[in-house]
Amino acid sequence: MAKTYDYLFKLLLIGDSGVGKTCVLFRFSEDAFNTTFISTIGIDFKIRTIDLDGKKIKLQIWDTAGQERFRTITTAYYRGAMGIMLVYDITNEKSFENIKNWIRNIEENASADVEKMLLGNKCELEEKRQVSKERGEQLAVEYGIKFIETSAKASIRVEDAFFTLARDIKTKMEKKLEASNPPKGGHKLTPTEPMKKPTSWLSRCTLL
Amino acid sequence: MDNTLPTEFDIIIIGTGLVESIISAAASRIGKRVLHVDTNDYYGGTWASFNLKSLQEQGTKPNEKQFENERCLQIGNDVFSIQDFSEKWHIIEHNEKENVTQTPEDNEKQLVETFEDKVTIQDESKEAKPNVNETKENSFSRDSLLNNSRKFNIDLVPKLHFARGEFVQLLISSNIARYAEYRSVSRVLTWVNNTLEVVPCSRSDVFANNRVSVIEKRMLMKLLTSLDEDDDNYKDNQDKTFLEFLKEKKLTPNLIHFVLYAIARSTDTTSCSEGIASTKRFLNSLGRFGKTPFLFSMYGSGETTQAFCRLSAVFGGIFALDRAQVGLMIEDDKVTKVFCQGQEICAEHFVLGAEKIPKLYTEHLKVNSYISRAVFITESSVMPSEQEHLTLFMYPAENGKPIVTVLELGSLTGTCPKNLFLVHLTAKQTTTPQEDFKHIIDNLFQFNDQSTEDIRKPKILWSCYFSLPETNSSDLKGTNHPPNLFVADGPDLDLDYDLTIKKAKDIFKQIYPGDEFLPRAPDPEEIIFGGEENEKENVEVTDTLQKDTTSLNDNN
Ligand SMILES: Nc1nc2c(ncn2[C@@H]2O[C@H](COP(=O)(O)OP(=O)(O)O)[C@@H](O)[C@H]2O)c(=O)[nH]1
Ligand SMILES: [Mg+2]
Repeated sequence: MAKTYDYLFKLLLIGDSGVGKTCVLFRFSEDAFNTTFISTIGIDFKIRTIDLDGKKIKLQIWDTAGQERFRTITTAYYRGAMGIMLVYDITNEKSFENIKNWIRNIEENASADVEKMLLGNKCELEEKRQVSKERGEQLAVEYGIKFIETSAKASIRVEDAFFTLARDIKTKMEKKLEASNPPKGGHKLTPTEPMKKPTSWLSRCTLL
Repeated sequence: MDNTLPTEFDIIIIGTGLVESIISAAASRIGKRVLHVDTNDYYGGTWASFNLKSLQEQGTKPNEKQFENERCLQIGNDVFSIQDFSEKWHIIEHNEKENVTQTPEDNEKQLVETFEDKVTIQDESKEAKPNVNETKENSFSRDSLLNNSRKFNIDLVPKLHFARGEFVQLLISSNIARYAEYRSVSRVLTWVNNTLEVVPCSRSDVFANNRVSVIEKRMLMKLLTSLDEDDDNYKDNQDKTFLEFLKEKKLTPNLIHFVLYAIARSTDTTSCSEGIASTKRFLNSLGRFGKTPFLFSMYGSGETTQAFCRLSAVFGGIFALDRAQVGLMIEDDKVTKVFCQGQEICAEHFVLGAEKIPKLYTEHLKVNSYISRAVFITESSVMPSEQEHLTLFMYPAENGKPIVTVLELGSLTGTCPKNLFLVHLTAKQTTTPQEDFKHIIDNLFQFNDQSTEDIRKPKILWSCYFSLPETNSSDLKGTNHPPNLFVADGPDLDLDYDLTIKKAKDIFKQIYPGDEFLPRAPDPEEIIFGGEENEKENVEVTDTLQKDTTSLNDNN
């Protein structure tokens, strides 16, 4: 099948429960904000293909499936992730403080050089703000990552955030690709091949 | 963080072993409210994979602490947990020279690997060549291995999947396959006449194998074709052993060995029908992925358990790990609630992993059989080659020793660092793991700290032994545990998971007789969200199969 994109990036969302990860994902992938569906159907991942400097980049963005609530995210969630959005809620001090715990979690489980970015979500709720923009910026500097304040509800800078992360990954990748010819990953199992019985052993061994 | 759980569920599952996790996924999938609890802070129970450090800690882990609560029956027993765990280093603690496994390039390579578009599968021959030219000295130390601890994913229960087996079928039909990646086993070896031989299972293997004559190739071909196509073989040979059957076919001893021990994984006493069935199973899974019938889960078999837990979570299952105090509350011979860290949580049905059964029910139980396990970290392959292999090695039963299944995994499987191999040995226990595997070590390996050196044998840098009880829930029938409590078996000796699914499905069907077992989960693209902002939920699941994502071609 012809590919409809140049690169596929696997991205993850991480952060405390309730900070708006699923809403951010929906704002970006559906350009919608809908709070009712979220609890009714599990969100696995969403896909959006974007154009970056003439390349088609397919972003496959995975949600936590609620497993962040009691800190039971599987190690499998982190496999193969190239970028991670660390999200906190600017109206919730605790969610900001927990970012460092999530970073530790990432360090333990994700690939060492995964691209990270910090998001302060719900930024339209200025009157309820508990975490100043400066503190967000400062934390990002500490970890050497980028920072943006967003609002999934008011649709503020959500696009910016994902485009920035995707661009950083792309830059990094192109640099590495120049340097080497990478080994292959594993098989993905899909139903494209019908589960039929092979015709016969003989047919695969005609040269015998 | 608020650790309080909701207090009402349809089903509570305790233990995150594979059988429990499959049931969890299946129950969530049909809309049941699932609470999935574990006392461990990791997924997988006795089916887990560990990094090097955490595996070592398994040996020093204290038994689960007792807690005071008269109203409930604390879960957990010593009968069905890992037994006799021991581990040993065979290398020096520090090394002056820094190790070769962790270099900056290594990290970079890993990154590139991550960026690989995993959609297309390349021919294996084009796969990464390990750095054969790189001057490799034995400069490993405990420190260098422990610094790479996270690059190890060491299975308690290593398993393979038949490419056309029921398990792969289920992964695909339920759409759980998207949570994991697989690598094909690239060669099958056996031990014949005191040498390691490649078992010819694909055409290219047959040609590469100069130990099999042209005439033998024809004979083998003819036999396999007839086994594959002719069902009369069953009827005519019911009372024979498979060995007798093969002898009658006038195969050479060499060929009998390949078919009997490696392809059918049988012994001299295996019945003909069993041998034929195993052979067919092997043949049936050929030619789908790679050169052998087998697949292995990238990053270790523990990922499989997590994939089912993920599906359960996606469909609303709530997970709570690391809960020290868990107990069952029983009224009128029925479990009514689970006590969990101070909370009392009700449900209608309860599923327990075997190692979580309260002591009261295991007191008089005797485990009938154990699985012997060993894990080695080695610095070279049992059969070195230019490209890295993922090797299944069937070591036939001999002199009262059991059949031993050996899996040798390289770094491409994501279970060990570069330039190292992870060797898993598994067998039905006859005495102790050490005894059960001693002849294999003598024949094929050497300990690094051993005085004599044999350059042909891989050196073992670290070794570890343990036993796993082979649980069989039928043993638990006599324990008159409450009828709404279901016990999920622990690991078994099978090479694959087909028996495991069957067990999970059986329990699911007892609890939810009328419901479908793991119907296909929709792809995210198929979930169409209608309506405007804040409008009432409007979820439509379409049937479209338009995919531009993963497509996998057979590499026949
Ligand atoms: N005001 C405001 N509320 C938001 C925003 N994003 C999410 N929310 C709300 O925050 C709550 C949690 O959102 P959700 O996406 O489920 O958070 P998650 O647990 O991190 O996935 C919901 O009630 C959302 O409506 C935002 O940008 N602004
Ligand atoms: Mg969410």
